[in-house]
Amino acid sequence: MAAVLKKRALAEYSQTIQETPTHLPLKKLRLVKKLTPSTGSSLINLLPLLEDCANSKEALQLLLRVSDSFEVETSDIPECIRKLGEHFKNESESAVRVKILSLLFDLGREPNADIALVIDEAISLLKSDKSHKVIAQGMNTVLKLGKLIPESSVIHQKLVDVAKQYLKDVSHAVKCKCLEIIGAHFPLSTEEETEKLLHLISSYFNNEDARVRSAAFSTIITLHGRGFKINPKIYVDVCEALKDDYEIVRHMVLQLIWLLGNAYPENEILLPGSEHEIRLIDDAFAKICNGVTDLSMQVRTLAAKLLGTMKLVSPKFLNQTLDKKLMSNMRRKRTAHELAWENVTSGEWASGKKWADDAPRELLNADSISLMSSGACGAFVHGLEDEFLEVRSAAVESLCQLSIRNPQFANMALDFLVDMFNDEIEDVRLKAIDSLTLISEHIILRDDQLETILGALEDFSQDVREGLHRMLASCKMSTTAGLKMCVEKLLDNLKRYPQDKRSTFKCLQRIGSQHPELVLPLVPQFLNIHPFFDTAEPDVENPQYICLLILILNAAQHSLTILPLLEPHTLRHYLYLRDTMSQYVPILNLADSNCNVISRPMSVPESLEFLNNVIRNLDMAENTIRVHTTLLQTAKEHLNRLSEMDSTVAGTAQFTSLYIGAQLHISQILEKGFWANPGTLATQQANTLKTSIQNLLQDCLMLQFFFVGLSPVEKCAVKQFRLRALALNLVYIVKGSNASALAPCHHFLTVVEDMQKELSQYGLEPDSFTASVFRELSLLEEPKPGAVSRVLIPILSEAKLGKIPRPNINIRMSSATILEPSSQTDTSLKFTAGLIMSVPFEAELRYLLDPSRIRLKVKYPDQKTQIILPRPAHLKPLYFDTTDKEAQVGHNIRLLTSVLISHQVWSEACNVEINVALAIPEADIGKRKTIADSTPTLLDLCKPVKVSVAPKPIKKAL
Amino acid sequence: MPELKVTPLGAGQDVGRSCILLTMGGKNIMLDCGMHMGYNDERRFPDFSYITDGSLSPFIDCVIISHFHLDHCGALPFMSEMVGYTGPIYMTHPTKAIAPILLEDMRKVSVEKKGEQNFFTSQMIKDCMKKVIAVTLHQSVMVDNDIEIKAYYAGHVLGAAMFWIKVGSQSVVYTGDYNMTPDRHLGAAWIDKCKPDLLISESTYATTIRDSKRCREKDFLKKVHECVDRGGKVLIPVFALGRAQELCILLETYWERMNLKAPIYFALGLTEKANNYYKMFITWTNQKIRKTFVQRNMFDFKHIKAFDRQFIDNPGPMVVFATPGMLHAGLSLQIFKKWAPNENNMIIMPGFCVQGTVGHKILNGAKVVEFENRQVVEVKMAVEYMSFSAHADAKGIMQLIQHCEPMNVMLVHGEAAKMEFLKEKIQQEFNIKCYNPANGETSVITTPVKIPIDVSLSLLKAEAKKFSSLPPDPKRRRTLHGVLVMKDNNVCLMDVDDACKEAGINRHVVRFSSTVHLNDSGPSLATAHKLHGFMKDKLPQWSVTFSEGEISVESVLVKVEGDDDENKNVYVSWTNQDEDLGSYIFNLLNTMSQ
Repeated sequence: MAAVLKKRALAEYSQTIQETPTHLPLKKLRLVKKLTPSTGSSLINLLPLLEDCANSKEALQLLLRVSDSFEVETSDIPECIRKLGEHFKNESESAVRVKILSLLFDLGREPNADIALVIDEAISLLKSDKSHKVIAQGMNTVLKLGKLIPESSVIHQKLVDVAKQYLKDVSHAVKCKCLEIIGAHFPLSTEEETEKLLHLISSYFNNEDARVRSAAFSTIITLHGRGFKINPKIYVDVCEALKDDYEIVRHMVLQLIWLLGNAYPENEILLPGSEHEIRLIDDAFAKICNGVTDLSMQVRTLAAKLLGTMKLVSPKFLNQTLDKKLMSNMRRKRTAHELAWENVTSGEWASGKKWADDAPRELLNADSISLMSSGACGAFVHGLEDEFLEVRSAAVESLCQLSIRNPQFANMALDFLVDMFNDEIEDVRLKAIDSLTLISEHIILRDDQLETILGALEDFSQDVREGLHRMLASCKMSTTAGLKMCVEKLLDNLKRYPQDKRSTFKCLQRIGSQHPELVLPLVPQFLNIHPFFDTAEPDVENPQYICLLILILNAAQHSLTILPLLEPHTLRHYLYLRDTMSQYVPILNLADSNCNVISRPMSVPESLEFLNNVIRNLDMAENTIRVHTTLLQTAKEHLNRLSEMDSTVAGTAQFTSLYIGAQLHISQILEKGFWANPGTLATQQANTLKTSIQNLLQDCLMLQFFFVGLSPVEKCAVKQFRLRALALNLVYIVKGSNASALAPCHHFLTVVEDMQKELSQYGLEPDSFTASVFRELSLLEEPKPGAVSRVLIPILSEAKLGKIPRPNINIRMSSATILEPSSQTDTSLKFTAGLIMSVPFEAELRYLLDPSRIRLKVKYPDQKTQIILPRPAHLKPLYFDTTDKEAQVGHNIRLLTSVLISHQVWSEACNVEINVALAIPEADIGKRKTIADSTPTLLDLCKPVKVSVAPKPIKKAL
Repeated sequence: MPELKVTPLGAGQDVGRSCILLTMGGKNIMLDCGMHMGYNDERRFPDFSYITDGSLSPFIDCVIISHFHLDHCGALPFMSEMVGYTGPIYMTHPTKAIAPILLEDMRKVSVEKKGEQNFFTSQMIKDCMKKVIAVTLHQSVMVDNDIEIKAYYAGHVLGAAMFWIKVGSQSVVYTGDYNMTPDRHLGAAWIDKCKPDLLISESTYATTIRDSKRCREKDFLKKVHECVDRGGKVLIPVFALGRAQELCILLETYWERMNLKAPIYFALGLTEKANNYYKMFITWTNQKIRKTFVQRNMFDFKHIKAFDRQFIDNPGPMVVFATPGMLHAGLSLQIFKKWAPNENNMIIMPGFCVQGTVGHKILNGAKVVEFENRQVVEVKMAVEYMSFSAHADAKGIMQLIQHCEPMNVMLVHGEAAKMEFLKEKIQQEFNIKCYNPANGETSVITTPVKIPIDVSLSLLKAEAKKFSSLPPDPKRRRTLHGVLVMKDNNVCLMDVDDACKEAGINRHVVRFSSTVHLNDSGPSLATAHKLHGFMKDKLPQWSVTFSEGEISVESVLVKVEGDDDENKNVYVSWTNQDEDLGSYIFNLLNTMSQ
């Protein structure tokens, strides 16, 4: 039997010879690819067919086919151009000519094509053409070709000249393209020339075709973008065009006005019909504000968006945007916001009982009211009330941007943003909440405002609630009563939505540390401290109580008077919390406490020192293998311990320890020596060998995919190590099994090739093993598995292990913490068998290399495993405030999703294991011929949580 | 001068009974045909005898109904079936669907409850509806060869539309009722820059600028939520259609968002039927509802259930919508009587209440309400007022005018004094004329004469080519040279040669020629050269050519004749078209010779 198999394997090898290696340069190891037979779709082959086409329709079909499968050799390009040109001249159908011109662009786009030649050809073809369509396409072709050669100003000048000439064409399409060419390619020049150019373009501001008008404005915008100085004199003309009938024109004009406003903010311009002069930026701002009430939704969105990016606007104009004079039957009426403000200042709360308490007050003089007040009046009021969510959310964004820069405006905008909490679209609500968070530093919340905000806290959407928590955490409150209301509402809400626990903790932590003086008077009330009587000791596991403790302890950090108020049991609870959830509870100086608290600083320089020492010692020791192994073993243990102790070097320590572990693995395998001729082994030994090789490969994968912040040196070290492991694997497969070694061999060679590229890219020296592999393989004539493995055996056994990379403290190891479901619950989840149950799942994933690799693994007690790809929408960034430097390394993700579980009936509740894993489809483990059908390799990111599940049989009704 | 004549039969300086007669280009169009809800005698219908005593068909070319409110369509069956009108009636699809429900309901109340005589019957409503032609938004409909109408979205209620009407070169936009701010179920009114000769706009809130809608909504929701939280019952008296749907959506989404469990009830009645139509006409609603209806139709209320009378005494919190809106009778009053004595409960009046109704009394703070049967109810419940009106305010009206850029504006459907203010403002800020006629008063608006002329394409193309080839200058005038041909009823501008060919006339060219005597010695060719130089100098913008002893500028020919002696005869000749140029050159030569 074995002989037959061997024969078949050999037969397979012999089939490989059809790939003939062409050349093997010393340094370049090239795997042979099959020569692709000429498919006949190459352009040069198809073009002669053009002459055979009986009519234009056929020619067009042919050209379309050509452009669908476009491939051409660089050397053939001039010939193709010539042929296309010939056909162009004889073609009567304009559609075909258009297609030919567009093909010219495709040709010019090819690498190494002579673009100038193509441009010349295109221009010369156009000379005699009369069709507007063809000319427009020709202009388009040269425009795009011109963009491919950004540095050649001679060609650009030529293009601009051609464009100017064709500008006289009647057709709008040609005119637009010409203007575009002028905008994109006009060479930077003197002021005088620019002035002339501007004059030329501005004479198209009043063209009869809206598309040309719009193109003229956009040309100016492009020119400005390329660094031309635009004369602010055109501002008046541009503003005229705001009344244009066409939205494309108004759209462009708004952008141009915005540009001019920002470029020349301090220029004075005369108001029409008066002697007043106002700053250009103010006038531009007012104009854009008017755009918020435009007919077209696109223009409104743009206007709302632009408002936020105008920086130097006078406060007078800015404040007008939120102003809308109310009146009712010619009487001045106060807005609801004003009413609220007056209630607060007068010390009287809204009765809410009188229907006329917003009754109009003074009579207005009819002449004094301007209904269409030009200027910025009420722009945001309109924008926020708009019909379309695009406009509303742009308005919210702008409001936020303006508020960030202007505290006074922020205070005015607050009421409006709070109003937006009630929008019908959740995205807009969320945006409003986030905006409020951003401007929170300027704001001190009044109690009535706080009340409205808290009203939104009951929202069913977790995003909204957590957004509000963040917002409350960063806001300042004005009174103790307000703070109390806020805390009570938060606690209340925690009852309703227990899943908000962590977010509430975080919120109260910040509130506490920001308002110590407001918390102080509330301490006895919150903790039920009675002056005379001892009250019952609260349950320390009660989330409500924990919340209050977090609030008070964080306040105590900044207020010395709080600590003495606390009762002894509270202090005990503090110590407990300090141990269990140290991230929420600060370190307090408990002077008279009788229990010693060991303060654990988060990081010490010594740990890095220690790490360095460990590795240096390893390198120095030139010992026998046995001693070396023991040394490695000890070092590994040290590092593991270190990683638990100090978070700053944890990643590095873990990385190094894993690397050492892998080295130990490989040296063990090599030491035993069975690997070279596993055929002689007994079954059990063979199995052990197989598993150790598997483990080794898995270690390599972990080294590759679990760490972020690796420098090229480390990356290459890992990869070279992997190469070694793969070599070992290859030898094992060739020698020890009768499976085909073709694929592993091919894979190995690819890896070698990549390795070579990478090393030369970073300019690194290969280690002894890799170097000899390169050398030996390049000498090899045919990379057949047998031959390769024969070469590898001596290298493997001789080469020494690579050096351990120097510690690099930027390294972080990927990790996952599953917060929900917690494995502590005793109750099992019941559902009807065969149907689906969803289990809410929340996890925090840190330092990920690539978020798209995340998978959820659900393992049922019957060993069935399901792999779930979480929806991208469920992956959210973990840190919202990006100031945190930790957030910069790798991807930190919060996975908030629900896992669907389903199974047939069980007799009793069993545990289903859920965990987070990384999918590595390109893994080397068990690389066989075809792995497409097998499941991708998964590396677990954390320990699984167990959820007790009990599928119940379907109850028969009745 | 062409004229537009507008005569309001209702809604002239008045709210209620909208009915406007429009005469343009010899066509008579009736805009809306509403009834007045305040009267019970013949004053409730428009005075059709103003038009004629008999059938209206010969006098009116079409009727356009803007939306289904009874003050805009209530008199329609009366007009078409009892007065007599057989012409077309136009309205949008939702209006056509919902209007008969409302008409039928009103008929029932008037005839069966109040026992009125001389009222239209159910059959009449059906017959009337058969004459209705439904239109879609932005669909251009030709009523006959001359009248073209087009509907625009108007907000206000489901299916409300503004109509653009064009006869010949004149056009009018009639707004009906509209709303420029979107609400929870409808979008904002929208019209393009159609630049009509006249815009007839409603002006209910001519002197009001309203606060942001969100504030009102927020207050409303907060109050309801607080009341429900403390276990109270909330009563919201509403009218069957329009605002009721908006409030339902508002509460429904809020309940959804806040995950509230307290039940919301809606008293059955018309609303059930109408809600079905709301579900169907999704395209007429706002962005949110349109986008989400595939997942879930917002009018398929999840939290709102039908009300049953026995629920009144149920314990626990609840919210109830009940008709009628002014608390003067029916279910809402019944519930009010039960709930008023409990201070935990609350009543929210979402609209205005007429004097004399219970609603009006409690809004004014009455603590005790006495009913006809000596029954006395103490009002301890909280009483709130929330305005949810769907008319454009003054700013909205101005915005609409700005958007559609009319030549003239007419205000209707509003109180006279308020209109006066808005009229002032419109004239002041847009510098256009504004009218506000009273009922029966005819406004005559003159419109500029516009004569459309067909121009032959080749002529236009040639001009465009010529214009484009010159260096661009926005101020240059663009001129066409052609012959105005009047043929049948058409006027068209044609190229001279084409026109001659078509008329079968040989083209005659009139040339003027004259001789100027010049004193210049030397050969005539030399003189000609001199002249050429001179003319080039004087006519820098023209191309002066010299060939074979002749100087030519356009069609002007200058030829020098004579011997080598002193006197030369200079012939100047020019065609009729170049009269200006010719006489200029002639004068030039004349002054030279002297």
